[in-house]
Amino acid sequence: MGDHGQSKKKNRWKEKFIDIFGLPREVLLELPRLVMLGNCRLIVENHRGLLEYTEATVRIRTARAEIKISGERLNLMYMLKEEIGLEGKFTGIELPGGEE
Amino acid sequence: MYRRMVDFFHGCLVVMVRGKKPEQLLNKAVEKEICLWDIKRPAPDIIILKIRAGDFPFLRPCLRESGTRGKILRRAGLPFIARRLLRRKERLLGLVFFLIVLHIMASFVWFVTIDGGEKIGVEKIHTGLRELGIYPGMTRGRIVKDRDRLVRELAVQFPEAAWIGLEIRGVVVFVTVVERTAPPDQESIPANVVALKEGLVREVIVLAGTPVVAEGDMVNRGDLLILGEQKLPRLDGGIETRRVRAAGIVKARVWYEIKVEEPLVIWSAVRGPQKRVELFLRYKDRFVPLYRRGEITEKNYLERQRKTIYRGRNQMNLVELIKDIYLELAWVKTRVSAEEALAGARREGETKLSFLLSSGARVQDRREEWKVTGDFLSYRLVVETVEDIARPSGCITELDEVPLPEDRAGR
Repeated sequence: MGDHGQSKKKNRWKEKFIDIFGLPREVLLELPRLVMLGNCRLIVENHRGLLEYTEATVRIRTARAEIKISGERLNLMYMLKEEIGLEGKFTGIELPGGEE
Repeated sequence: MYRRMVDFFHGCLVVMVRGKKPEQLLNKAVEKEICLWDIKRPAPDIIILKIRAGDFPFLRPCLRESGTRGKILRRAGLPFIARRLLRRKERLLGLVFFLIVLHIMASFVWFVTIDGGEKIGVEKIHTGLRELGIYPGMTRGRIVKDRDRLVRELAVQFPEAAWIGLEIRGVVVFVTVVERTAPPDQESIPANVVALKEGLVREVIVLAGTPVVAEGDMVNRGDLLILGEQKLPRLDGGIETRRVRAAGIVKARVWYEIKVEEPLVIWSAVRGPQKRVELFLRYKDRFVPLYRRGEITEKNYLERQRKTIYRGRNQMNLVELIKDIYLELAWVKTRVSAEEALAGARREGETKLSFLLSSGARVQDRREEWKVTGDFLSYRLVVETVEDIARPSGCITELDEVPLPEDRAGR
């Protein structure tokens, strides 16, 4: 509990720092960056790995939470250390609790 | 496109991964900075992916750690093609032979296509091209090298063509011929005949049209001589007037008067002993005097010499050395004898006359007078000729604008 409280405090300071100096949030807060082209192509940056990959569901771990992408005929176009490219017909993207 | 080319040059492998948790393998591979693409999951425990050939040894530990097994399904790219070719020498030789044959075949012209030139005749153009060495089977290089000369020669060979283009695209020579569009035939347009010069009519020979002048008439330049109309009797007794192109010969006496004034006193410049040399350095618009030598009372400029300094770095001629030479000149009065002046005047008179006389003019009479007035000799030459003064006036629409001779207007 104490660790969690300290981390929250640290994040608040980070955010203030970012606001004052106008720095990119996704880099300093390690937030995932999602770029979507229509509903057929999706690029996820700042990921922490793949949790599940099937033709209907793709779960991607990020620094703060997990992203669940559901759809039909999902394919991984490419996978790099910082970036994942997905294609298929997307029906939903879930960002469960934990993202701020 | 670029990535595919890079993959082709590096070589890539299509790998099938079998195991319970293939996602773990993907994560471990990515951690080791192995690039994976076209990842497909055809079955729950199978993943098919593509990987660079050079990265496969680094993938093996990941397979072990994630408890999966990998199998190479296909090898693609240049390194594998090269290996396959080197393994079978006859294939490589075949490829090299094919490339050599292709290169040789591509260095010849196989087709000659002609666009346009219907009036000249396509066969005639083909023959002309063959004579110049443009035919299927000759080397492309010769045409490419001599293209401009060949176009010039074709233009000479086919004067009916206004423009000829020669283009080589691959193994095909395209010849484009644009033919001239001839203007309407001037000979068939109805027209009058008018006077080219002022003169006294001596003889009228009408070839076509109706004469409006007769012997003894005085005509001015531009006067109507033969009307472009012809009256023809009809069978029913009437007269039909038809527009024609008037033609004929109208011989007339023409007089030319030439006057020449020849000076008897001539001033000429004579170089004196004094000389002055000035040397300047010019930079843009500024003149910097460098050196002066000699004194003369009156500067009579003679010549300026320019020398560019340091040509290599002075392309714009910003700096140059200027040398002006002034010479003393004295004006001397020379008197010319009347005979010399007359000879000069005659020469000038003849020159002027040669410009005025028509080619078919026959000189009938020639009179010359001269007199000395003060420092000048006045010379007058009168030449009488008999010549054809008829000239077509152009289109018949100008008929009304052509003035009739005064005494013939009522005719």
